[in-house]
Amino acid sequence: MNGNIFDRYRVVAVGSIGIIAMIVVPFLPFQVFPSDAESVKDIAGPGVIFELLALNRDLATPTKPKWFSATDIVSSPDGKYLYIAGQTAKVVKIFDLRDKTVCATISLPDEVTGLSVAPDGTMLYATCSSDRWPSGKVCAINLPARKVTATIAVGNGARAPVITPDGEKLFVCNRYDNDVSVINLMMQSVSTRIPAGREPYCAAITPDGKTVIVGNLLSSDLATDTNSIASVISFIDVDREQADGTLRLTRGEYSIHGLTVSPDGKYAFATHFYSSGFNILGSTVTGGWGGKNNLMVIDLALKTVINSVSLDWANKGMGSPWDVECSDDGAFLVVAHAGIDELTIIDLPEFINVVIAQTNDGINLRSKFNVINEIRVNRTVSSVGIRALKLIDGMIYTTGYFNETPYIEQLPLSLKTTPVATTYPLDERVPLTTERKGETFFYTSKICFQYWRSCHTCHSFTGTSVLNQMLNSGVTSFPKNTKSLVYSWWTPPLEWGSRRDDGHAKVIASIMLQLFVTPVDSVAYALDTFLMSIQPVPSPFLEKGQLSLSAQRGKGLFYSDKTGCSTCHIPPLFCDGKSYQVPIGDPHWTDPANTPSLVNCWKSAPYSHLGNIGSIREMITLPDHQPKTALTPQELIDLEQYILSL
Amino acid sequence: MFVWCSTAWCITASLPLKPARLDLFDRADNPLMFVTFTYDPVTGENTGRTVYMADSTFVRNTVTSRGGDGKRESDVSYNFNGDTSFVTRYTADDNVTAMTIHDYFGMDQIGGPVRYSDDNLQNVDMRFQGSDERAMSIVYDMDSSGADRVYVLDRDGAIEYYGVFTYLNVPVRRQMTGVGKAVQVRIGNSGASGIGLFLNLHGPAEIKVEILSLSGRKLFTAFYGKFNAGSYVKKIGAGRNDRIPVADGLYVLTASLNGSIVATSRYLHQSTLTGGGR
Repeated sequence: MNGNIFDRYRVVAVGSIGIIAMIVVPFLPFQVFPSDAESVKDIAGPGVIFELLALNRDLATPTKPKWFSATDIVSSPDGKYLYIAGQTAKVVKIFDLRDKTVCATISLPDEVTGLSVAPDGTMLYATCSSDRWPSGKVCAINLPARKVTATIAVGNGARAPVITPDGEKLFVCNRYDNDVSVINLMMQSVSTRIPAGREPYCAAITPDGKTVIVGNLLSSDLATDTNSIASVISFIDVDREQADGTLRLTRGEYSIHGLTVSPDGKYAFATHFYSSGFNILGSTVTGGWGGKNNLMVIDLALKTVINSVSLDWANKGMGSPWDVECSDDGAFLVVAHAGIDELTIIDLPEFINVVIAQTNDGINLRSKFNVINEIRVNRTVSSVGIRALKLIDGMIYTTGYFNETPYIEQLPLSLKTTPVATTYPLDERVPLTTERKGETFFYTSKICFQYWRSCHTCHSFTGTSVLNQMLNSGVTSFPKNTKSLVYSWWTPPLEWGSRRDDGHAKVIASIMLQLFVTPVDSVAYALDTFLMSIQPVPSPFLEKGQLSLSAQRGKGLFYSDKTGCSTCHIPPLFCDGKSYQVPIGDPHWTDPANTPSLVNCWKSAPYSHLGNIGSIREMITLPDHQPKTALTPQELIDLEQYILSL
Repeated sequence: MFVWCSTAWCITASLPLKPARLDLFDRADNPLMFVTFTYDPVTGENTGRTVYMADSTFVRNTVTSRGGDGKRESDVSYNFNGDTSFVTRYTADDNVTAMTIHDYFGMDQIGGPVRYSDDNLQNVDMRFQGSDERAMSIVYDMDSSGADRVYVLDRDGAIEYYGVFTYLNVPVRRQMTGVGKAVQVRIGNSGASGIGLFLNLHGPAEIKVEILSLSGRKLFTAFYGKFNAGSYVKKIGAGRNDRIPVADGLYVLTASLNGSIVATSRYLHQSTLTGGGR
């Protein structure tokens, strides 16, 4: 240590102070200026920093911890690694299959909704999008460097990336934009966007790389189109980057959660819900009366549905079939049931034989139980909310979205043995809050009699399934459209007929009358807490999160006496808790209907209590629901744009 | 040097810098969001901020209310439609600030109140309700040699997030994004929270922090450690078992890397605040 350095400092310090003080001090009043750090801390203080990151769910707090929320699993081409998406943790874990440990964690800027690995194993593509920041992006992760090296903007609600076998193109479902982005990976840019039904949710590609198949969640039909209402399967020609046909499913088939293609490229398989009686009284769930959990078989050459098979047992529903995958050798097909945390393992060749044979005999397998009992087994796993699975080298790997402790669960892929699952931790335990428990209860079928369905079955991701329901409420019931649950807890009374005084009463009634079990306080209160916490998703009609010019004009109209909209749709919840008669052509039910909140109406079509109004435009031009003063065509557009922006 | 600089600055400096914008990144350098700060055109007082996601998607406008003492009392946030989305409230009690965040419905968003010491120094420990354990730290790195930053550290001192400030009426300096872009060793007084040590290392290194008298006499080795390449922030002398055994007063800090001094700073030691009573 050279003490002279500090002697010089001292001399300079003292000398400088003295000189400056002698010159300046006599002329200055005594003042103390805050330092730069203190000024910045006043304006961007610790509380501000904390608020920014906590509200974006970047910082864990006691009320909103950061759970892992496993949502996708893919593997490296050489079979040495698993890549696991932790959606709400905003990370990808790299899991080494050789020593069964996590060897790396890659941070991403937003919630991770899907993964796809390049065929050469050097790049991993992650779709990122959240309900707070739905602007989607694809993060290109260089795997050797284990770092995001590029980010490509795609559409709202990006998910389900699918890469072509040549590694040149990536297809991404933009759930809230109702289309698919095609990305040129060499140029790292989007080359085009292709319409793909309403809320495209999952995708798969044929082994020859020529066709991408997309499954969507919701029907674009009116709820009163009871002969045809269904989701669709979209086909995309990879080379031409164009839509190549749309396959409308059978009435009542909706919520396609998982898609896969057989290794020989002949068939696609899609997991979905099947509601056969949406216009009959939901007096029970037994036998799948209120809906079934099915697996569809699609002939890819003909682009037609061969049949759809119920995965349920006669006395047990296999709630919420989600991910589906074929083994590489074509021997097995496995379905992950997120609602009951079980796997269905099916002998694939025999399954094809059975389905084709029965179809040729003219048998509709959608509501037929025991069709595949001899060629399938069910395995219970310990993970909670299994939405992802991967088959590698005779093993099944799965993990639960709602696990307190995130882990990979491994069990043998076999119909014969009774395997013991082995678990390998991915991260530390994060205890569940009441809200998180409520979310778990929302998506599980285990609180339903015989596990037939969950809240999610009808209220798709807390929204609407589009379908009408005749609720079993002990009084004469007529078909009513399934409502979105955004702000529902805060806008009593509930139900179109205002039958439930408050959110808790509705939760209790729903557990009793739609899930057919006796309500348990711990479950009901947890659901209450979850429902209270649901936040709207920013509308894709906003422009960078703000009202467009048209919507700004529409806002002026909305609040003006010219329209009177805000009389009943009072901000910020855009309803008034009252009921009105708005004739919509319902031949059965003419009672006053509860004013629905307009928040997130962009994603809750069709409209009215009957679900027979297809657009906001149509809604605001209905007799007895029109603006007080006739609007010009442009004003109608503006008003509609504003409402769809909410 | 530091004393001279601080005095000269105090007497001759113009008004303090006002941040125009803060960009926030995660530890992997992913851009998350940015904030622009708004000021009253007449008084120059900070009146609030606007939050955007990294792709410039608007999130919310926040309006700040202050009490008669100038301290922040509440921040009310509004969505794109001008409706209230969140309310953050601040209360001060004996130099400790408690903050709560509620949504429009009054739902607690953080399990608050979250508490932090309202001292005037650059490192702030934050604690959740019902816990004396430090949940995270927020460290302001205002060295004026590059982009001024704020770091958010987890309870173990690892960087989770960082922010880069840009200022009004100050030429934009080349923004140093990236947590570990250069070999850098800095030390600074953290008063109530001890000594802050900031490291950006390109390779393995031995780091030693020593306390010297103003005359240059070595008094105490406050820290010694070996690190691999990477970014680190350490807090020295902040805990009961980590006290710095020198009398209250002004000292000199040095940090050496592999035996060579690479940084010096002043150090004001206050034993009633440092290392005890927590």
